[in-house]
Amino acid sequence: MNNFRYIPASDEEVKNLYKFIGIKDKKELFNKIIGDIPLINEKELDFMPDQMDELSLYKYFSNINDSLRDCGNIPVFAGGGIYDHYVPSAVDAIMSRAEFYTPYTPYQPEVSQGTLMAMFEFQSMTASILGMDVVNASMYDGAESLAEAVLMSSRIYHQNKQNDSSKSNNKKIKIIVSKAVNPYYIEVVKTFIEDLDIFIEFTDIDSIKGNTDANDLTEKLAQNKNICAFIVQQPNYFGIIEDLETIEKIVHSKNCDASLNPHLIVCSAEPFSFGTIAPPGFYNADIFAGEGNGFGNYMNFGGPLLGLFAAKKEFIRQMPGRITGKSKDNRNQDAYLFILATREQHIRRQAATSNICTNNSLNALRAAVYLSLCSKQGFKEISLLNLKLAHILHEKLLNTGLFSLKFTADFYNEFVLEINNKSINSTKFINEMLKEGILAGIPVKNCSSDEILIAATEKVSIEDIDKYVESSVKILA
Amino acid sequence: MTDKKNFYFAKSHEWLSNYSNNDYSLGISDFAQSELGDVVYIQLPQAGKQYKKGEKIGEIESVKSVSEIYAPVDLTVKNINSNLNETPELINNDPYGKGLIAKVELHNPSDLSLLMDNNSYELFVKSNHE
Amino acid sequence: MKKFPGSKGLIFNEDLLINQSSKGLYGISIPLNNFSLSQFKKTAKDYIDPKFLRNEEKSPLLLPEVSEPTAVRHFTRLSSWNICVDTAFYPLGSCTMKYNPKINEVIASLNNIRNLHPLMTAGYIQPILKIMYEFNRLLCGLTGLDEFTFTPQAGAAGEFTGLKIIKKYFEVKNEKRNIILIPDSSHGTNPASSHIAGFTPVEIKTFLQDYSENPNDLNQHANSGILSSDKGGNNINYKTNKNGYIDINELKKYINKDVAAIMITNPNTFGLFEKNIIEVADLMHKNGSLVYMDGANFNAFIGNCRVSDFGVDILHLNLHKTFSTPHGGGGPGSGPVGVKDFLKEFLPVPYIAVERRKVKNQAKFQNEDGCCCIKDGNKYNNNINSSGKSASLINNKNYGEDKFDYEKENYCYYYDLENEREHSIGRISSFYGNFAVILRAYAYLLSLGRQNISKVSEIAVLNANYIKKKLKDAFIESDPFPEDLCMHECVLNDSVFQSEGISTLDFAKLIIDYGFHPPTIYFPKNIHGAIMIEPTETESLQTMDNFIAAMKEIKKKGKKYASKSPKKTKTGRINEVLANKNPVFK
Repeated sequence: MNNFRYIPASDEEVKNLYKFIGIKDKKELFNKIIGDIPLINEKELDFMPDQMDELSLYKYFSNINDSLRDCGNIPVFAGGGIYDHYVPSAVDAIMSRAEFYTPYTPYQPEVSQGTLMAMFEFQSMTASILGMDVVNASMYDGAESLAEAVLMSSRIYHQNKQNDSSKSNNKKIKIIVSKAVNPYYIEVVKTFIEDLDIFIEFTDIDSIKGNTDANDLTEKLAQNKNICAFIVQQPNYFGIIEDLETIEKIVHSKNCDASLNPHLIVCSAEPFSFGTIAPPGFYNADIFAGEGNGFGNYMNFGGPLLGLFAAKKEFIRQMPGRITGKSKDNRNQDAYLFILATREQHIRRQAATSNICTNNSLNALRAAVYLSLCSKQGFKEISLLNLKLAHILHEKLLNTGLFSLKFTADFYNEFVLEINNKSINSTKFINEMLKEGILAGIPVKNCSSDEILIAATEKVSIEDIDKYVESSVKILA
Repeated sequence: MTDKKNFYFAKSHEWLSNYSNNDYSLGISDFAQSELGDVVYIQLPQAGKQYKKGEKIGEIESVKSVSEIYAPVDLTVKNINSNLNETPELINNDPYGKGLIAKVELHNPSDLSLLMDNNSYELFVKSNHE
Repeated sequence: MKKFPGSKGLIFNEDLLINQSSKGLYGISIPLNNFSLSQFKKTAKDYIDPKFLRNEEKSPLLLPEVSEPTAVRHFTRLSSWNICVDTAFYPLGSCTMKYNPKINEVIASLNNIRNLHPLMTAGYIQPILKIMYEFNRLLCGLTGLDEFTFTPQAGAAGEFTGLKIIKKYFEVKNEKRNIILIPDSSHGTNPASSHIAGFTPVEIKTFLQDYSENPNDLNQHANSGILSSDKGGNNINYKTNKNGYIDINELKKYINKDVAAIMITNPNTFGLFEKNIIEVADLMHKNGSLVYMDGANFNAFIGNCRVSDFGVDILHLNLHKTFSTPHGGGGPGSGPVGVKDFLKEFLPVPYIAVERRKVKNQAKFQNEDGCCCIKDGNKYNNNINSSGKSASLINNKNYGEDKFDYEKENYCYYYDLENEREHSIGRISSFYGNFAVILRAYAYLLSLGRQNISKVSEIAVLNANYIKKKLKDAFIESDPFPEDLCMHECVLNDSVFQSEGISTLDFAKLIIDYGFHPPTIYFPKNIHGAIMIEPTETESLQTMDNFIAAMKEIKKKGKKYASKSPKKTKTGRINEVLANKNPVFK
């Protein structure tokens, strides 16, 4: 037997272990346990590569890393759900502490106070940013978080209907979804509700302004019955700031019995915007579901991300996921622990509010460290910087005459432009721009092929913006 | 100590006790509360609603468990003990008194014959949970 | 006198950061852009309608106001209050708290890799797509299944994905089947996932003698009365039984044409390998039903047997368990789902497709699109050329292709993300799942290689059996399965501790002061006061001996300390009732 560095059992010790439990060798051990099921023989492991020493392994991945310099180390103007925000060194330094990244879920609170208190701070800070009452200890990502919000809304709806014995309790219910919600989020929501008697109806977008069409929303609400929720994204998939004030009034005044009004579910892929624009809680949103990856996390080719989930306090018992709470210990000190665990799968099994167990805790802790570093002032300034840089780029690109405005409404840090040169579609433009060392944006999903979705974050500089403009002139003119 | 002469118990550990005509108090037994541990939350039944025997009328939560409360017989809930919303510990402290869950009206008082009296219930608990 | 790792030391106090604020301070460096003066002067209302702006009075932003050193010290102090795998033995049953190799962390933090935008053009990220493709082939080899999806972000998401696949499979076959059979010893996620996937979970009792009262209960769910669920205390009155396995005759009672699948954890949560699994699978297959396996306990046999050899059709794995990626204090994880050939068409999107493409420019190594591509060469070729275009590390036969001379034909592999699949259940996550977790797990398999892969489960099983047998003299009455060898974990009930006046909870809190993380407690629920110990293969004999000594010592002299422990930690026992009665969550 060879020594392998992660396994601290010497040949001698292994021999003694076998002797102690009264078994001859591996074959006998497994045969005794698994019976007739065939053991894998050495030849059948041929598909496995040779073991690699650590240096070779490092070189192998480090070479891959080097080969990606043209896409992992360039200005990123792509968004569409993930935004390239800067991660301060202090975040990496703290999160590389094994005390944070190697423990399990803090089910033994006395030996997990570090994680729990940091999680409590995460909940407090994000709740304040969102203007919402309760934030949970994270979901997987924005899309899954939104799907869970829909399930939660349907539970509350059924409960309210049940309480209202005068109404028939139709099992089939509807959600109305703005077409300006991220299409990937919508796809995930569809996967979740497909077998659950929840149906989707879409509201149009205003083709000029690019936001949710309030008239169409009013109509859809009037036409449909048994609506549990309306879902809108802020800022929406096209980067446009939705008029949540108007939307909220429409949604929350559908019924004379307020308890039967649809929930306003606001989702967001860019909660950095709430350092500048009013948060969902300000507009009386019932549930918030979004992507918090931009707070101190890397894009990681799409995962792990950070699902944010928040709700009004009155719905806390219907929320999915873990919630950290504050209490006292037997020495009368403040102490933190998971609360309302009876909602969860390990206690309530199939009647749980969600099946989620492992969440994205470490990503939430990264966000806690990041937001602490940002502090109040820094968060506002970076939020504004995003808005400013996007608007500067927007203006400069339009000034080239090579792009046309797609939507007129106000946007935050992302916007859609049409490429005027009809021989070059957005995919081709993006590929050509990559050769210039810029990730220029993404093709707008489910839209015309000459439209491009462009975002800016605090990581791009004025020089990057000027280079973007120059390069696009070179490619499109 | 509460005199439980006029109490009727279900196998699922709810009790009923007559206070006038067809009107009864409903709660959970002392044994049930002690097994549950500290009650932290209760979802009360709905006043005015009719429940069939065996139908779930509410839920009791301790820190790490959820338990359903069932209607021991066909009944209509007349009033609920809303004090329990703020002070669910009453169920632990006084399960046969201030910790009662609701006042109910029985549809068929003869259904009570299907339940256990205090002595039988104590025997039932002894034989099943020791 | 035995020396245990638990000792006393200075514990820092630390207040919430918000209470350490000084107005105006912040700890982040804001990029200084070379704004022109006019650009610099502009504020938000110069760009957007003021009605949209955040109003500090109506929506106060309650973030701390601290400098970088204050924030760093704060979180560093907090971290010192945690026990973790790197500081202590962490024998949490069913959680596989093995060592998290440090090189994998280094790899996952390589700058260009972690900064990749998920919507980057496929031609530019061939090595990344190749990693996912090859990891897929490796998992197929280890399980005997035919294709994996990586989009589920954790075990429960994997279960949901697998159940959706089952749902779709029967839908396409035009069969209505709504029931998922689940042994009552399963993880709570199994019934919860079944429920949200639109199925009715039905529990199979594995401890038959405890359910004599009402046979109708068999078809009902867990919470069938006030006292049916555990309070995390000791109220359940199940008597343990010699039988920790699925009983075939019992199972037969549940089988009918409504049964879509059985969801089975193997080895089960008693740490026992389901000896009847082939028979179980046959019964299910004869009924037209499928076999789903929860692979949470895959560490028990990785590299030594394959799930395809005992009839599993669908499986999820937990990369954060068996594949050594860190648990992160609760996540992130990754829950890949593998299926047999006939279920491939139902897998979620996106998935990675590979095709052979002609190499247009050999020197620049570009294909028709002008994008870089990866050349695949000889078996086990670890060489990497200077431009980082690595050869495949995996035997080509796993690509399911005939012999093909790549050198001569000037072909290369091109990987792409596909979004269409005829009967796909759809999209499960925003992008492609937790890539950074997959990357670590891939690096782990490369480190192990063919030579070490089977050693992992061998030592894990040996270690668990060592603990089980070593505890026998003092805890024989607590071992529900004294005759069986366990797999990677062993379970005790609380009878021995109880006779000493110590509850399982007391034991868990007591062992903390000895410097160990407690084992999993009160799970599985049908073992009274369960204590579930999983040492994993990365613990030494000395550590295990030390732990065993601590358990024996607690048995001897625990009672008088029991309810007050732990004493050496930052906080003592916490008032859970208060926290749940009046929740304070921010």
